[in-house]
Amino acid sequence: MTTVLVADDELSIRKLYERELAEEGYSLVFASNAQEAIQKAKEATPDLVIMDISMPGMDGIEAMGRMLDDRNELPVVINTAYSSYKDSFLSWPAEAYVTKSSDLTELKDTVRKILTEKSEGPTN
Amino acid sequence: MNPPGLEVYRILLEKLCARSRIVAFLADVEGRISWADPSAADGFPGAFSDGESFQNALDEATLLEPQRAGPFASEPAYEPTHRDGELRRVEGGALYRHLRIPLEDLGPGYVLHCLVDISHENELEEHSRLNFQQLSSMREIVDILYESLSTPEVVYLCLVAVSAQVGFGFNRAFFLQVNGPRMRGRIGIGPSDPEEAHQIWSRLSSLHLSSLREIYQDLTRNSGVPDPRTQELAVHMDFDLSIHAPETGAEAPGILGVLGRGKPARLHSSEQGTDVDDTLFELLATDEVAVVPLFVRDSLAGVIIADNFITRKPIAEGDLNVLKTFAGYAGVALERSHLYDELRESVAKLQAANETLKTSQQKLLQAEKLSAIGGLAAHVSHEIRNPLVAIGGLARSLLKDRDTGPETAETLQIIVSEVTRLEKFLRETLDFVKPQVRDAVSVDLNAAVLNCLATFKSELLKSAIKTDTELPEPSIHGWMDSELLHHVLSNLLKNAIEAMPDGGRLYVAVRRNDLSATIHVGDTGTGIPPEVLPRIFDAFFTTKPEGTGLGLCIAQQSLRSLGGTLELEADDKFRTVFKLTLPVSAGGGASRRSRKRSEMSHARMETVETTARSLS
Repeated sequence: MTTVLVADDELSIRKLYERELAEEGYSLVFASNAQEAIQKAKEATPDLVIMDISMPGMDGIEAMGRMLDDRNELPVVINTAYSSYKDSFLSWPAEAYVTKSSDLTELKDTVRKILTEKSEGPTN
Repeated sequence: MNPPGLEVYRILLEKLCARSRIVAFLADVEGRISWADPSAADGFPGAFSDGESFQNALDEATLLEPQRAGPFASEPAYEPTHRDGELRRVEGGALYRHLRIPLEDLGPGYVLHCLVDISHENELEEHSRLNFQQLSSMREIVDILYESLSTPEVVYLCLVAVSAQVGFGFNRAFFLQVNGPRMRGRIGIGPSDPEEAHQIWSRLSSLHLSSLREIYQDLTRNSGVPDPRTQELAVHMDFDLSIHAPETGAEAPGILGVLGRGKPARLHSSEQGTDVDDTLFELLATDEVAVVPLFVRDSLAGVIIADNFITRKPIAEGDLNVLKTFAGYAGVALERSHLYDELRESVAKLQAANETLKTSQQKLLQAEKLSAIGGLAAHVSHEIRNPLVAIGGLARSLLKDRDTGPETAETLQIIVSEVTRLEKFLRETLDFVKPQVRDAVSVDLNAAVLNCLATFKSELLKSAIKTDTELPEPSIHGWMDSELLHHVLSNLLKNAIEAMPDGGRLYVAVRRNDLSATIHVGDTGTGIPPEVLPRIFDAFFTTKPEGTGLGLCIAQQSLRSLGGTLELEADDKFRTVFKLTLPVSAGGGASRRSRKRSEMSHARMETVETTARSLS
């Protein structure tokens, strides 16, 4: 089963994603801060990470860096309320950048697309 | 038939005449000469021969002034004074006063005629009269000079003073500026030929201009150059004194010596001089000039050259003395005006600096405001967006739930659409402040305008607004971030449309001038109230209830980061005009002419001016 790690400091967002992404058939792992996210990424070996940027303590960009140090091929989707990081080179290592919206269609589509490409990749 | 006693008189008179400047002769009652001083024959047109009528010798031609005093013979107690009797001048000779002394002891009607040579005396009298006049002129000149604070005016007034009849009475006067080794004519006034002299002088006398001030005002009122030919002559005087370096100083000949000594002097063409003198006399076509060096703070600033080109009147010692006094005053006046010029220049510089400072301060203030807005906006956007995502997202989630009844679904739908509206607002306003990286690319301005207009199609239709477009063929390419240009144009078009709720005319044009292109966006709307004009680019300033007061402010700042500007300009057709300036890209669809030009100087940045009408 495909495992998706969601790192976000806001409980209401985690609840929403739990509800919506479970519908997509993913197994979900949650982290409420960056340290926890790095820890869970090691333990749960997710197939994809949805990463918020603004979190207390370490931010999502740095957490992403640490994760990619460990697992270079891990796809990270940055999902933040800030649109300003979109053009920042700091977010370039991310597989995708989706600005937070109450309409989760874009996020879901992006995640699905990345996972499909990933699973098809080795066979090609 | 000479009367007895005549012999005695003759001896006495001959001795008197030999020792004095008197020409004497005796005439009888009929005016026939019975004796004449032997020297009388010299210089007079007729001969003083015995028996001839003296009227032949002293004809009317010599008469200058009619008789001043009454008859002599009829007044026995009469004592003649030198003031009596008519003035006579012999052609090319001396000036005489013709006195008649009755000698009744010789017989009735005998009169001794004495022609007293008063040439010298008259000269003195004339001089004292002139000196007095010149002294009073001097006072007036000094008064006027000290009132004037502009250097050209002071110089001009000096020349008027030197050349006016009520001044020092020279025919012409020239001012030559001395600047290092260069001496150049700047101004010349006075008639250039006798005919013109007659015209000028008779005009001046008919105007009864009694003071220098009036003459000066008359000259400057009529035209900038009252005597064009004399002015032209002045401009032709151009000397490089450095080539005469060995000849300068007080010992130098001619005008160089005068400048070296620094005192006004007369120069005659016959005197030894340098080729400066030769050129000067040749240009002036005159034989004698007065040279007045002018000093400002102990250094030679210029020289006034005056002559009597028309009347050929010799320059008298007295004239020169007056000029010496005048030169001092003129120097002081020039110094004052120089100081004033410097002061004025400094004040202008200070004002300009102050203005620049004020502008920079305003820009800085605006930049600071914007930076604060940027930070605040990003923060607010983040803080609002997160809860919105949760609210809206969960509402959407519930909507999909099978358990949700139609009434709840309707309520949830309201939540979803309201959240969507708020998210849209965040995207369109606050997100625009984000410090993002923008890339200038070559943008087809016609296409940009048309694309932008297309997005307002329904609004234009709804408000019954007619659109006039004026686009160049081929189009012009601007150098700009296309998203930014689209945003700014949209902002300006939106404002223009909102200014015409009851319909009107929207005017959009792209034009190319010689070195720039303009996009005009105008409307026939309500216009911006004058009191609001200075604030329309201020952050958070808005006249619209639902406005953020950020649109124009952000547009202006963003454009600036890519070498563009957005300004407000007055316009006749449209009450308010925005001028957007941005670099033009050399390639693309630019005209053949502009391509050629850009090939010649591809590094040159050109500008496009976009003028647009807007509200805030």
